[in-house]
Amino acid sequence: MGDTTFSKSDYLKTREDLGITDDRGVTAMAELEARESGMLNPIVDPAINPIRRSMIRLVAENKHWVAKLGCPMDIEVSCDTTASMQDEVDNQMRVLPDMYEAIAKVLQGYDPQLCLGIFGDCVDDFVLCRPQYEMEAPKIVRYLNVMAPQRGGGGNGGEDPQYSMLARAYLTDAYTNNIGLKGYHFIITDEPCHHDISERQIRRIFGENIFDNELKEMKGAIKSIYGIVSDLKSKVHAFALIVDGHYHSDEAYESYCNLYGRKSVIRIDSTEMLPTIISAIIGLTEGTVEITELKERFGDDMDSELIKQLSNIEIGAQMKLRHAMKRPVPKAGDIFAKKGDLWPIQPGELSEDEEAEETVADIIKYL
Amino acid sequence: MKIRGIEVDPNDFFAQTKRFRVYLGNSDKDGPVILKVAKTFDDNDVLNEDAATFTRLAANSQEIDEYETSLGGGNRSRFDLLFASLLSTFVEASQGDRRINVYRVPDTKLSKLLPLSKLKADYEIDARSCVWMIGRILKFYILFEKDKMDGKETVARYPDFYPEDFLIGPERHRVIYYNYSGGEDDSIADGHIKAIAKFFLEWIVVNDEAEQRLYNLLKDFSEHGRSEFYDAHSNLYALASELWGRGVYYPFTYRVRGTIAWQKQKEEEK
Repeated sequence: MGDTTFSKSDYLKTREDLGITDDRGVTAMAELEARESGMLNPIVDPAINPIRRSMIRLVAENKHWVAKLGCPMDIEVSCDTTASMQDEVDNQMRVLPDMYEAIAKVLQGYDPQLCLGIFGDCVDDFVLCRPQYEMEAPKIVRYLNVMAPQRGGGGNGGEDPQYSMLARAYLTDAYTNNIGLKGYHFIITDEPCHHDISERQIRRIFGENIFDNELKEMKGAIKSIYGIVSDLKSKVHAFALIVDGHYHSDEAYESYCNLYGRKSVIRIDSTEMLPTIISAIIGLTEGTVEITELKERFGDDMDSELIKQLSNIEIGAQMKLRHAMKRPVPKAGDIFAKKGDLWPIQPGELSEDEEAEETVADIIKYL
Repeated sequence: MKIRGIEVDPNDFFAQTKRFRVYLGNSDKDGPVILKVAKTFDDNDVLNEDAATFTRLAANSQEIDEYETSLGGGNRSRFDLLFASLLSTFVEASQGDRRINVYRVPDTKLSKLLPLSKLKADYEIDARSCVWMIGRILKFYILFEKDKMDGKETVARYPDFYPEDFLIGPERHRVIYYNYSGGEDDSIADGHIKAIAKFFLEWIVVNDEAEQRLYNLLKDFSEHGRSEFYDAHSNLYALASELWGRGVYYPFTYRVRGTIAWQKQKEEEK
C-alpha cells in the first residue's frame, strides 16, 4: 500500500469491476441513490470525517519506516457540475489516466495524491462532494463513480465553490504544509463565485458539529471570502480555470481575477485540456517546466494564447519555498524513525531501537 | 566559462541593474547571444517577469504574422524584429540556482547595437533621424495592445518606457527591446507616449521648417499624449510621409558630443 501508484491497468480493471462500460453516465446510479436517500455516499460526503489527509506514505522495513515514493504532493481539483458543466465527472473519469500521467511527469520524485471533487450551488440538494486524497486507481475510480453532480445551479448568476476553498484551507491535513511547501488547488468553472459564507451552510455541508470540533476557532467568527482565500493561498498554489465561451464566462473570469488575482486565473477552451493545463501549471510552479519548453513538452495543445496566459502565473513559486526550507524535501528511500515523524533520519542518526511494525491504527480510516 | 553550451566571460558584463547582470555570450547552437543572470536566488523573480514579457511579445507577434500570412501577399509587419528573442530560461544549479535568460537579437549583429540611453548621451541627432526610432518604439508598444484589441483582456498592460531597455542599430535602423525593467501600467497609452516624446524632444536638433513641424508634433505628444499607440504611430508616419515621402531611407545623422568641432558648432549656434 505504501508503494503502489496509479496504473492504467488498475484503472481499466476497476472500471470493469464497477460496470463502467461507457464514458457517459458514470454517476447515474449514485445520483439516483442520493436523490432517493437524501444522502451522499460516505466516501465523498464532506460531513463524514471532514478532515482530508495527504500524508507521506511509509513502509515498515527492518527497524524503521521508509518513504518508498518520496514526498506527497496534494492536488485538489474542485469542478463545477452545474448546468453546462454537468458532465464534468464523466470527463474527469475519461481523462483520469492522462491526468495522472501528465502530473507525474512534472512531479518526478514526488507521490502525487489526487482529491477530485465537485461543487454546485447552495440551492442544490448537495453543495459539495469531496473525497480523500488518493493515489491508486481503484480508489479514485470508485470515488468518482459515487459522486452526485446536481446539474442545477439555480440560475442565480454564480455558484458556490467557496466551501471547497474553505475545506482546503481549514479541513485538510497535508504533509506539504507541515514541511513548508504548498499543495495545489484548482477550481474549474464557467460561473462567477458567490461571496456568501454562512454558518448555516457550513453546518449543512460539513456536519452539525463542525463548529464544536474541526472548526472550533471559527465559531461565531466566520471569515469573509477574501479572508478564506488568503488562508487558502497560504496553504496551496490556488488557481481558477475558467471554461470560455459559456454564457457567464467573462463575468466568471473577472470574478476570479478579483478573488485570486489575475496571475492565478486561466481561461481554457474545454475541460478536455485539464491534464495539459494542470500539469503545465504544476510544472511551471515547481520549476520542472520552463516557459520556453511549453510547446515542446505539451505539443499542439499549447497554443500561443495559452502560452501567454501561463507565462503570467507566478513561475517557480514552489522553488522559492523549497529554497527556504531548512532541510531538503524528503525523497524516495529516506528513512524515518517512526510514523508521524515530520523529517527523515539525518545521516548518522540511525538507531537500533524497536522494530517498526505497521498496525491497523496506522492506516487512515475512511469508508 | 561555459554554461549549457554558451561561452561567457563572467568578468565582463555588458550592463547591470540592481537585480541582474547582462552578458554577451556565444552559443554553440545559436551564435552570439545575450544572457541575463539574476544576482541572487531572490532576484529570480524579476527574470521570471522578464521571460513572461518576452513570451507574450513573441506570441502576439506570431499571431499577427500568421494572420497576415493568411491574407496572402508579401507585406508582413515583422513585429518580431522589434524585440530580442527569448531562446531559453533556466535555473542553473552550478550558479546557486540563479535564473538565467538567454536571448538572440533578430537580424543584426550584437556588436552594431547600442543602448538608446547611451546613444543619446554620446550623440546629438537631427530631428529627422528620430522618426524611425520613435516609429519603431511606438510600433513595439502596439504589441501590448493586441490582447485588448482581440477582446481577450479588458485593459492593455504596458511596461514603463526606459531608454536603457532598447538597443539601437543606427546603420540598419534597428530598434530592439531587450530588457524588461519592470513597472507596468494598465492605464491607456497616454503617459507612455508622453514619456517617449519628452525623451526625444530633449535630444533632437531642429535644422529646417520640416523638422520644426516634426518637433511640433512631438511637443503635442508630450503635452497631450494619445489614447493608443496605434494612433500616435499613424500620426507620426502621416506627417513623415507628407514631409519626406514614404519609405525613403534617411541615414542616421549625428554629431558626436564633447568633441572640439561639436563645441565650436555649439558656440556658433549661440
